[in-house]
Amino acid sequence: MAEMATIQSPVDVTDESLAAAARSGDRRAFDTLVGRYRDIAFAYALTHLNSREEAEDVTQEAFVRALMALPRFRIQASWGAWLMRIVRNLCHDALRRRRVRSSVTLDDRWMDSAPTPELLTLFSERRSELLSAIEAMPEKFRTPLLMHYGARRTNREIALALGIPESTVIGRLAGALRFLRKRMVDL
Amino acid sequence: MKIACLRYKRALARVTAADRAIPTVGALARHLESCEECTRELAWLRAAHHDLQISLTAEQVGAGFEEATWARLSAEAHSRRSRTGVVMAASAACAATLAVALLVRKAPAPTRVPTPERTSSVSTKPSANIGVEPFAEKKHIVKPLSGTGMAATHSEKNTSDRPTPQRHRRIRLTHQKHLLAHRNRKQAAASLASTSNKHSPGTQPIPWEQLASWYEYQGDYRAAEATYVQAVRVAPTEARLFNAGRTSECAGDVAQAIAFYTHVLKHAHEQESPSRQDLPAEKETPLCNANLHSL
Repeated sequence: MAEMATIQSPVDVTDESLAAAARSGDRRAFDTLVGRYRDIAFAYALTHLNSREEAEDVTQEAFVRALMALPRFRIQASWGAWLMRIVRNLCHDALRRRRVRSSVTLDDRWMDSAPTPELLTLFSERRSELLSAIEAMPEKFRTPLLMHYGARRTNREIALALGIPESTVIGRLAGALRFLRKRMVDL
Repeated sequence: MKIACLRYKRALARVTAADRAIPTVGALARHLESCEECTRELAWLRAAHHDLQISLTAEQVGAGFEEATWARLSAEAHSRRSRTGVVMAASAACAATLAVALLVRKAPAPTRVPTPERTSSVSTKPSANIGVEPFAEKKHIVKPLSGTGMAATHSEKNTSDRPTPQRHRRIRLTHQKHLLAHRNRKQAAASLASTSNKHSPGTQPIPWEQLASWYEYQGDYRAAEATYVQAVRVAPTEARLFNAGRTSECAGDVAQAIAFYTHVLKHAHEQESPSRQDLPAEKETPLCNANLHSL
């Protein structure tokens, strides 16, 4: 008589079900969904916008848009990939509005404010070389590099965020390392 | 630099980026044993990988992120609801105005039988011996001629906009079309209102049972009960009502559980009554709305 679904863990609940429930007012479903994609969306936005406030704003806006436009979502596609596409579009819009990048340097945003003793052993000269090389890096190398080493995202998550295959992410990371090598040797 | 080294350097960068160990066998391992430059490259890549790992760090999302996003979502949903309400109210007002206008126009007007003189005065064809200029001919109906000795008489002014039998028929047809359109709009609004609690074709159906089971799995029986109650409101079935009672019982609210079970039994009793036995058997018979309102 009772209709019991065979759910073993919350992981089994799909993003689409959670999104539909969140849209109808289910707060717990919303929290679960946000917990799944918050960090990756924010990391991507921070990488591009280089501003915490703007990155948070873009991430929130992306969640709201993705949930409100749920009836237009095709069930064959992945909800996470759809959300990340919205994040990417919003980032591009924000950059277009701003025209120029924020004057905040990479050092302020992506360097640890309380360095560990291990970090202190790193020569300051080498550290600054590393940063200037990252700043000079093309966008397609810098984004995966900062998301991988800075935001500690896995290659699969970066692939989802950028909308590219995982093998391409590894290729771009390798390209970034080779760019660093070339740049730092030239210096 | 050897040409082969370029290929191996790319491979080394990929291996380092993917956090994989350098293979101990194979062409790459053999090349590393023999090529000092590639060994240095590997050492540099590993050092850079390590330096990047320890030196780069990213800011995390603020503590109130979920709350802020939820508030934003609620505000957006509310604004959309109110926008929809305004649109619907405006549509209803337009429909009402149209209906009133149609009713007013439909009121019987004093009928006058057009006399041959009157109909001839309405005619757009000027007589040949009038001597009216071509420019004035075009404006004959709109503006009666003055100063030419052919000014329209009082009776002509009245009959120029008086309905002829053909015009009567045209007006009647237009009224019927408006009425039909109005009726269609009303029917559409009624069907929309009746299905507003159900899913529209474009929206995703919510798997209530799945969500409720998930809550149950997490031990949150209150949330599961609330989910089942919501599911009953959307599409009432016996199974959902029973599950609502079961989860209420698990949550410790026995009185509420009894209320749910009573509804289930009442519904089952109604099904077994002779008046309903003639009906074809259904897998899940929807509950009547009267029972739902008492929930």
